[in-house]
Amino acid sequence: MENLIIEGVKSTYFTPQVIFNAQTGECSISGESYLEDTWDFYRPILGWLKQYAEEVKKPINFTFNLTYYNTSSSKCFLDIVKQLKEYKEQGGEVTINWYHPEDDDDIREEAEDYKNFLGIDINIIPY
Amino acid sequence: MSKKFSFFHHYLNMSDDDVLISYKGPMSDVIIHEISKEIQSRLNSDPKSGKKVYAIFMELAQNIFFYSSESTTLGGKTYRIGSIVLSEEGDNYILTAGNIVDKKWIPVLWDRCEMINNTDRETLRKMKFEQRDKGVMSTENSKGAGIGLIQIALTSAQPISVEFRDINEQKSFFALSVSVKKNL
Repeated sequence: MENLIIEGVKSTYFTPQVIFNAQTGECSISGESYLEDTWDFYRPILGWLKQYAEEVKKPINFTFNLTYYNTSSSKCFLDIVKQLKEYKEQGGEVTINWYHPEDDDDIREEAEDYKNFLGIDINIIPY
Repeated sequence: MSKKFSFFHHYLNMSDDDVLISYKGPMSDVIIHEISKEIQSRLNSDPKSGKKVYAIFMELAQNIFFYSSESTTLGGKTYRIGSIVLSEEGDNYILTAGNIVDKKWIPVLWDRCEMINNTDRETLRKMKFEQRDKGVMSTENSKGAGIGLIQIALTSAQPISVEFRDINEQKSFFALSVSVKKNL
């Protein structure tokens, strides 16, 4: 299975940097997320995770490290976390780390909400 | 509406408040980007509050970008029209966004704002989560996640205020005002 790598771009819209490694299961989304077509951007990302869970079946260490994202992006993050939860329930080994700027209570609260309302372990880490 | 627009009165009105940024016109992606950069640079000495103002601005601008019912065509592309003003008032930054909406949306918007103002933070967080979860992207009136207003209220952590003015049989002007405490 191929790695998925998308360079972060900051222009009129902000594309986050995506690095998904199919050999190690290390996956990260970092930077800022505000896109012209949010769903168009995140659909292949969800597709990659689905394929990994079906074919590779190895552990996933997933990292969110975002300094800004809009509400449309947050909908896609929820879909990602739900998919990771599903993989975990099927027996996959999943770790989720959510980094947030120390002074950003809004991002911390969101990560807490994913954790509490979905009932999945998320390591929430200020930096 | 028949009265000729007075730029002088407009200028005086704007001068009454401590206006940091004011824009009215087509809400293009480029304009949103430029204003957002200006907000970041103006408020960089107050980073925590500044980031909240920035995040709220982005949601307000995207509301206009997707939902304003007034539009114009520039260079073959259609842009929706609206206005956003950032001002200072005592201990707060105030962001106000206004645009024209179809009248049928007024009860929905009104109820939504009233509900948000009468709901405690924990419940709002839960509601935001549930709406995001059941929301379907790319339907007519939810090009985003459909939770922008709740997110705006949570980020501001203060009541939001709304104003409606009838324009004609079909259209109304809708304005939303949000405060962010300085020096958080």
